[in-house]
Amino acid sequence: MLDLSCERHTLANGLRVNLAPDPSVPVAGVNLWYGVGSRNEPEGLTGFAHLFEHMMFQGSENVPKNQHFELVERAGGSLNATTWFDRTNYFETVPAHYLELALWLESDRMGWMLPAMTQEKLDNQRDVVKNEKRWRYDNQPYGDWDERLQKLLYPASHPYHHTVIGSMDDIDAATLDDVKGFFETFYVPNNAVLTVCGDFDPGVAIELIERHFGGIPRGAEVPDLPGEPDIPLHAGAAVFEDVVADVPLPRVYVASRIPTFTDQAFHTAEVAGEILANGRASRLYRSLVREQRVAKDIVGYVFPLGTGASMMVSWATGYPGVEPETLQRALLDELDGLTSVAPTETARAVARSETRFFGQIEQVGDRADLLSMFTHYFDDPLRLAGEVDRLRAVTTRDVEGFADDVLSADNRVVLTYVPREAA
Amino acid sequence: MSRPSGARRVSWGRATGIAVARVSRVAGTWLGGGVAAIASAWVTGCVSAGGGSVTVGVDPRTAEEEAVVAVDRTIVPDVGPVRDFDAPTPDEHVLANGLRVWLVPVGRRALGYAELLVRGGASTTAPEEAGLATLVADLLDEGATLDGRDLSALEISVEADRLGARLRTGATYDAVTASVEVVQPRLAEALGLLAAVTVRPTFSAPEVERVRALQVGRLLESRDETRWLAEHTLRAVLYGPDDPYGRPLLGDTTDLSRLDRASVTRYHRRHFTPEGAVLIVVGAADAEDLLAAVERSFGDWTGAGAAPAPAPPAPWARGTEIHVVDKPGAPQSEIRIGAIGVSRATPDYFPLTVLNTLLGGAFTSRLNSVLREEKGLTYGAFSRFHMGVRPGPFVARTAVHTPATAEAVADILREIGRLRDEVVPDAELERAKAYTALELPRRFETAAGRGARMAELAQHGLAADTYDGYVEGILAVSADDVRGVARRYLEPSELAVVIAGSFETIAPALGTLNLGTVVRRGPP
Repeated sequence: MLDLSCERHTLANGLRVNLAPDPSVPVAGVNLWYGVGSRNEPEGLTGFAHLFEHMMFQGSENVPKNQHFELVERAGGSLNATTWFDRTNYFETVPAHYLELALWLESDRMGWMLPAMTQEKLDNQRDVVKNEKRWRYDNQPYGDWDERLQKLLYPASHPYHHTVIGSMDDIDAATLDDVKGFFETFYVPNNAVLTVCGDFDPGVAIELIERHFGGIPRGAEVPDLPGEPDIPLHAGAAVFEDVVADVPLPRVYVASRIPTFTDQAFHTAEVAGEILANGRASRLYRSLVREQRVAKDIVGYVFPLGTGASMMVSWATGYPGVEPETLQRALLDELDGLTSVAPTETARAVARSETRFFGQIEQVGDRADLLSMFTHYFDDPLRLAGEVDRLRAVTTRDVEGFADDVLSADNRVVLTYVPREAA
Repeated sequence: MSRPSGARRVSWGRATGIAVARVSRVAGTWLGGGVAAIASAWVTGCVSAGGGSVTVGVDPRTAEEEAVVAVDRTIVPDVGPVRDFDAPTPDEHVLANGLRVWLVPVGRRALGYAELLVRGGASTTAPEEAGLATLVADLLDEGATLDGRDLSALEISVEADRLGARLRTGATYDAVTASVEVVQPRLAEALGLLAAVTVRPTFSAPEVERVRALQVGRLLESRDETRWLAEHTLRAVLYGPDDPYGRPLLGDTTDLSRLDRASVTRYHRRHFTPEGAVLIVVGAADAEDLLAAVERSFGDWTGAGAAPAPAPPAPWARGTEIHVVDKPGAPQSEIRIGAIGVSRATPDYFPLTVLNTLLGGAFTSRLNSVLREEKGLTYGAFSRFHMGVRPGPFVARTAVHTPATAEAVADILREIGRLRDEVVPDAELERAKAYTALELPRRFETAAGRGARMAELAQHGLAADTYDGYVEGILAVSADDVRGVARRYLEPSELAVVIAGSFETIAPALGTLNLGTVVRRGPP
């Protein structure tokens, strides 16, 4: 098994620090979570948190454009960042003896990114982001599914109503002033968690961190979320939307609001999702793919979101000629049927979740990210260690109750893609 | 298009709460059983933060901070010389039945991994059997005999789930593989499941029919995806219709009725023999225990010797056209520029690896720097030498905003040309070599990663300790070496240009590049 140790610190400027040494591979994973994401975007500026994330790689006071990537790659490291609903993370995994390089780069842009910002860089990354949207969504069959689902699942005033990528119009509208304001509001040490995981000495690391990050001034308290984050768990209705599209096969998506990631019922949702849609012995696969043969594949998972309500999404892709209504009915029947579960199904779901958990902490970069995540949501990184036990504690009755209450017929959004040729 | 100045100023919101700074230091340790032990906790100083609204142009930061021993931020921390990497070396064994077994150490980690690699893959299928290797791979775990019991497809899935094992099967152009990833204590049991699905699959008629229909469904979906169309059209252009490397793994027609139970069982009988396969096991247990588990699972496997290697296909004379698979109205063009490259056993492995890093194998590569960071035409541009058992394709790829298609094609060809004509500057070469050498440890971080690296060596007949010389080999590459392989393998006349995009929109500008006639073609 695995020893997971984590030493916590908080700098005077509010930066929360986790140090999780592991000498087994000569690498170090450095991870930063900033408590800002698409949920913080007001109307007219959707997609901005993500565009800003791109700007963070365009240099800082002591780091010219391109240098962040060049220095990390010169050190044989991998690096990236992602923007999500609740947060933006930045991470690099470097050979262990390059830890200070990573800390220097991250601290320089946390403290002093603005001097390096120019209109030219903003225009360039705006183009890159617009191409990302085209590549990921606009040029893909069914590419607008999450945009449609989110709009139907969350009211217009909720922070999750719009997608992380945002709209082309809003991306076009972003200005340098927006960049400046955003940075000063959200990219402050008191809104950040820094985790280091891998082959390093904690005593050396904390000293380096204090020297590189300690001089960054604390910022003001981060403002409240725009709009109305509180929503009831039950939408109170089943909403159906049909889309005729240039797709080769029919596909049905079903989404429900579920408890948030920090709610103690979230693990029940995870296990329910496993039983429903994970693997080829899952409910959806058995029924739709193996037995009825109306679908060629099924997918399903829960989102770990923290604001108001999170979501569970599953979908099934039908064979040519299968009526969309047939596919819909088959999928919804399985949701209805989850109110009765066999104990062996629960046990198997937990066994799969356990293997997945160990896969998620196998690499230092991933482990560092989870430690940051648990600090952000629970202020308790080592809570991560108890996740398997929490999953094991979910009972069959819990799953059945969850299906009955939360996945009920009046808490669903059903989005159906109908091939244009068949319509 | 940007907002006119003087338009609304953005307010990012109003803070209403007061922060309470967490200032405790807590150390905790978790040991395998899930017990958390909290060591001493103590409290340091306290800093309070005020609330208030934040608007653009106002600097909200306070200046009252404790003095810290600051660094000189203008100095880049020293990176030092490239260090060598001690790759794990497998223990090699051969069972009495001829199965080669490599045991790869992994130390105290939660997960173990095992992979059976069977040589051949799609390479050994005739043109009219395109898609067969994939069908065989997908049918392996849809019914098999385990410990004397005939398990249905569902029962195999249930058994894998019971173990918490991630069981995967697949076909590539050169092999069919089956693997399990599972917690260490269950690795021995998972080996039994792996043996069942590879040595004794059932291939029942109903499952053959169902999975074949599924493969047709995947084909229908894929033929609608611009990336898939671009990739496979390039292969078809480079290798022609008679070479398995030129056909999609899923098949090249939606009529797969020729792929029946007889052809599946014939393929399995011919290729799935102990001498035609290699087993990689990545585990923390004693080598003796692992070997005993392997013997129990695979020891009674019998079969003829390894299947003969397929005859090399007839040479294919490629034309000089620019090929466009039409996707009317597509917002982006998926561009693939490529040539027939090298096999994994190539003596030019190290210079080619460095060349590729420079051209398109890192974020700071030439292609990505120009097309993304300089011009903003794309989200990313990359290149790769796919090194097969036979020479696989070299591919440069990117997806660009449709109006920029011709410009991007010209840029890619120009950057390839520069690497042929010019010597790479020292600093850039050192960075590429350092990146290539130093990223090696990350590839061995996971059990599955180690297993895959070793399977690759075994597949290509390379020595188990090949990675021992990797860093040295990379660092020895010179600028002349790089230019030499660029000239040898990236001849302009050998490069094919394939695009999946809106033909009507892009054809005129592509025509002005004078690279050849622009032709429209259907899906492969």
